[in-house]
Amino acid sequence: MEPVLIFALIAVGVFAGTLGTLFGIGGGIIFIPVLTILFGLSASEAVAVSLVGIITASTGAASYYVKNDLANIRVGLLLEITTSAGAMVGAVFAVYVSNWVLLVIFGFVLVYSALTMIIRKEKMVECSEHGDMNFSFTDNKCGTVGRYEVKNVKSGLAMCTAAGVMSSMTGVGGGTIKVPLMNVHMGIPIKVASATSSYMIGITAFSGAIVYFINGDMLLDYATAIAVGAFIGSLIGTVISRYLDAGPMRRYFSILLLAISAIIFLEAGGVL
Amino acid sequence: MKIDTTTSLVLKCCLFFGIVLSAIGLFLSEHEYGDPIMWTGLLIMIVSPFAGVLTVYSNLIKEKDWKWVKVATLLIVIMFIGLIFSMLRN
Repeated sequence: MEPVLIFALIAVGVFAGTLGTLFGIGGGIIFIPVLTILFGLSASEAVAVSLVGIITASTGAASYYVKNDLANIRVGLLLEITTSAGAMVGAVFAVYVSNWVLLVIFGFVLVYSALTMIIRKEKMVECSEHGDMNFSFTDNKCGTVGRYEVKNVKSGLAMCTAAGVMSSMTGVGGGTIKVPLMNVHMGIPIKVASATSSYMIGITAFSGAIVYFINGDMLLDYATAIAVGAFIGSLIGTVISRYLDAGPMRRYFSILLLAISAIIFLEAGGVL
Repeated sequence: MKIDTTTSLVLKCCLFFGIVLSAIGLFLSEHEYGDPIMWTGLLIMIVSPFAGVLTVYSNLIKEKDWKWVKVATLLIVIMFIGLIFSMLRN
């Protein structure tokens, strides 16, 4: 492999890994179009390489967020159950529904989530005395300990199933839905929501990546270069997160969601 | 050790060894032993999230946190079903 190509792939990995780590979105929305359009990979090759990048960024981020009391492992495991089940259901039914219809629906969901996050202020539910969903976290910017109660667990689980179905049918990562869902609907602080999503995304990507890998459909050199970049990106993302307050982070996340929805609408219209 | 600390350590170790091995493999890709080294490194990286789940699972059992042990068990079962399902589809 040409050194120039290696450096270009590493640069893509750094960019996608940084955004993925900072906002808990994985980075597939960046990896796949770039790998297919700029690097000429086929769709399945791009997906396989992208999954390795997502796992690397997610694991790098999770190792920091888990240790520093930001990612909520327990809630992550719980929501991952219905997300994974939804992804399986979505994979079965994907052949029966036109992709552009799903992309348009997904695009509108993201616009709605972005606008909700801009309009509504973050509200944390005070912990109830005997609540079994009470948790705490340490803000990595100011070091203060915050307490919150996870609300709407059942409806949150149901929505995660829908997120799994949608992401599996459209190929867009579930983090873009899960972060606003955890933050707005379940009352989980934005920093915890994006950190928990980072932890979950690696688990979701594992099942897909291992199959591509075992079947020998993985371009090893491309995957390695992307992984190295994504690893560096995860380090940069965790450093930036230390300097971000919850308010600006929600605003930036909303802008990112609007940008992603624009890409999705272009894809639905056949432009991308 | 706390559940967060052990999980973070396992994730870090898997990622570090995976990245180092696959990068060495890429560097030696002109040689015949480059690809097997890269393959091993990538495999370690890919299984790291699952290794993280297993670490959380064993820690929850140690802590006798049975409610969350049930949740983790269900997730591991779903992951296995998903894996088999993906293999059958391919």
